[in-house]
Amino acid sequence: MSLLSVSDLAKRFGGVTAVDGVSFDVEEGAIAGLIGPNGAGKTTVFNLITGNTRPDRGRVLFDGRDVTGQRPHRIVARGIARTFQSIRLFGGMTVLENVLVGADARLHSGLLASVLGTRAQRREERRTREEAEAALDLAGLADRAALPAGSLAHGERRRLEIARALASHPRLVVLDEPAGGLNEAETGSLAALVRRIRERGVTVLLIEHDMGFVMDVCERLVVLENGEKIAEGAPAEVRGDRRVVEAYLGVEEPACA
Amino acid sequence: MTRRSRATAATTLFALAMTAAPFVLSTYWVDVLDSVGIYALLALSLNLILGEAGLYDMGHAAFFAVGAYTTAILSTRLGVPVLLTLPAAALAAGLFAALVALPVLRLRGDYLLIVTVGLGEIVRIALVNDVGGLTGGANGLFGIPRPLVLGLKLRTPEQLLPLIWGSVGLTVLVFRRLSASRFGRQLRAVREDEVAAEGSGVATARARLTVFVLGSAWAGMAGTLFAAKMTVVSPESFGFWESVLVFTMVLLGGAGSIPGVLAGAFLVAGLPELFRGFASARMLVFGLALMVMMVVRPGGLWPRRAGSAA
Repeated sequence: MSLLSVSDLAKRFGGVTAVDGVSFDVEEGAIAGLIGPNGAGKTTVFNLITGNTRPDRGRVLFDGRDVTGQRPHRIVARGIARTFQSIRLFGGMTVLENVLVGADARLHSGLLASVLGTRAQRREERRTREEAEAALDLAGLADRAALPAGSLAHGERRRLEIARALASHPRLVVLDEPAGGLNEAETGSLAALVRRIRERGVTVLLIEHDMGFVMDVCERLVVLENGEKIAEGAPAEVRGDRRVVEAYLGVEEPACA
Repeated sequence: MTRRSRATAATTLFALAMTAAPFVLSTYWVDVLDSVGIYALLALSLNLILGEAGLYDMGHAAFFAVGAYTTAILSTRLGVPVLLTLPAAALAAGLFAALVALPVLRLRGDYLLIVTVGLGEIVRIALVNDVGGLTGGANGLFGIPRPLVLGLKLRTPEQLLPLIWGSVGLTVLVFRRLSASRFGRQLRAVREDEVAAEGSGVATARARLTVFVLGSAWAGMAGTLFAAKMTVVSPESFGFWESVLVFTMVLLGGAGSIPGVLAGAFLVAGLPELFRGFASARMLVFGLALMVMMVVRPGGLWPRRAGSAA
C-alpha cells in the first residue's frame, strides 16, 4: 500500500480551476517530485495534502487513513510535515526555538505541568532540546542555534525550515521548492540533505523548478499542467514524454484545429 | 556576571526595595505603589495575550471589571470573604473570555483591536445600566469588606502592599515558567506567523483561546485585589482609558518582556503621580511618548530578546 494516495483532488478559487481531478501515489521510502510550469497547480496540491486548503472534491489517504480536509496541525501529528515556498520561519525566535516549535505536535506537557515544572515536563523539554540540537546538526546549523532565525542567510533559512519540519518526526516530508534561490553549491548540499532524510526512513515529496536538481534527486515524477496530471513515471520516461515537452517548451497551435 | 545571575540580583534587589517601601515611604506613596502593583498584574496578564501571542486586545479592562464585580457581589451580598472570591473572579472572567472568544478570536490585527474596544464599552455600559440588578448602576457597589489574611484585616496601604506585590511576584514566577515552556513557544510562533505555526504542528486555535482565557482570568483576579483595595467598585474604574493604559504599559515597556512590562507599569501608572501639576497634559505627554518610542525604540524600553524566556 502506498504511504500517500491522492485521488481525484479538485479545487477552484472563484472562477479559476487550480486543480482538476489529480490522482497519484507516493510509495514509502521514495523521493518523489511534483513538477510542471508556473500556475500548474503544484502548490495547491501541496496545500490540499497538508490541510492548508480544503478540496472541493477528492480524497487524501495517508497510510490508509483519510486525512482529507483536516486542520494542518492534525496532519502534522499524523506524520506529514512541510516547508513553504516562500520560507516561513519565526524570525524573532531563535534557530533552536524554531525547531522546538516543529516538535510541538509530539509533546504532551500541559500548562499546569509547565508551571509546576514537573519531572515529566522537564524530562520532555530536555529530550526535545537534545533532539532539536541533533536536527540542527544534521542541517549544518549547530553553530547558529542561539541566533534569531531572522538573521540567517537565505540558504541557511531553507535548511532551518527543513530541520523544523523534521522535528515533528514525520513519515512524509513535503518540500515546496527547496532549491528556490539557492546557488549551485547550496543546491548540491540540499540534494545530499534530501538523500540523508530518506536514509532515515522519511519519504520525500517535493516541488521544484530546478530540473537538474529534480532529475538528480527524484526517483519518480508527477507532472501537472493547468491543474491536471499529464504524465507520471521515472525521470527518464517523463523527460521523453511528448506532452511534457510541449508543456515546458510550448507548441504551435495548428492553424485550423 | 551572567545574564541569569544578573536577573537574580535584580529580582532580589527589587524584592528588598518592596519590603522596605512601607517603612521608608509616606502612606501616600505606598498607596501609589499599591496601584502600580495592580496595574502591573493587569499588564503582565495582557502581556501574555498581546506581547507573547500578538493578539491586539484593547478591552482588557472588561475582564478586570468582571473579576472586580464578581468579588464585590459575592462579598457584599453573600458575605464571602474577599480573598476567597479569587477563584470565582478568575472563573467568571475566564468564562466570559471563552464566551466572547468565538467572535473575537476569528479576527486578526487591527480588526481584533476594534472589536475588543467595543467589548470593553459593552461591559462598561452594561454595568452602568445595572445589568441583572446586581451591579448597582452608575454608583457601583460599596462596602466591600477588607481582606483578611491570617486573622489580620488589611486596611492601610502598608498592609495591602505585601498582598499586592506578593501577587505580582507569584505572577512573574508563573508567567516566566509558562513563557519558557512549550506553551510560550506556541504563543510566540502564533505571533510570528500563524500559518507557519499551524503548518509546523501547533494547534493555533487552541493556543489563542487558551492564552485569551488565561490572561483574562488573571485580569479577573487583579479585579479581586482592586475591589479589596478600594472597597468600592464603579463603572468609571473600568472604562476604555484603563484598557488603553494597560495596553500602553505593555507596548511602552517592551511587549513579551516581563521586566519591560513591569517598567511600563511603573512609568505609565507611577510617573503621572510625580507630575501631578501637569495632570491635564497627561494624555498629550503619553501620545508624544508613544510616538517617540515607536520611532526610537520600537521594541519597548526593555525589549525581549530572541530566545530569552520573557
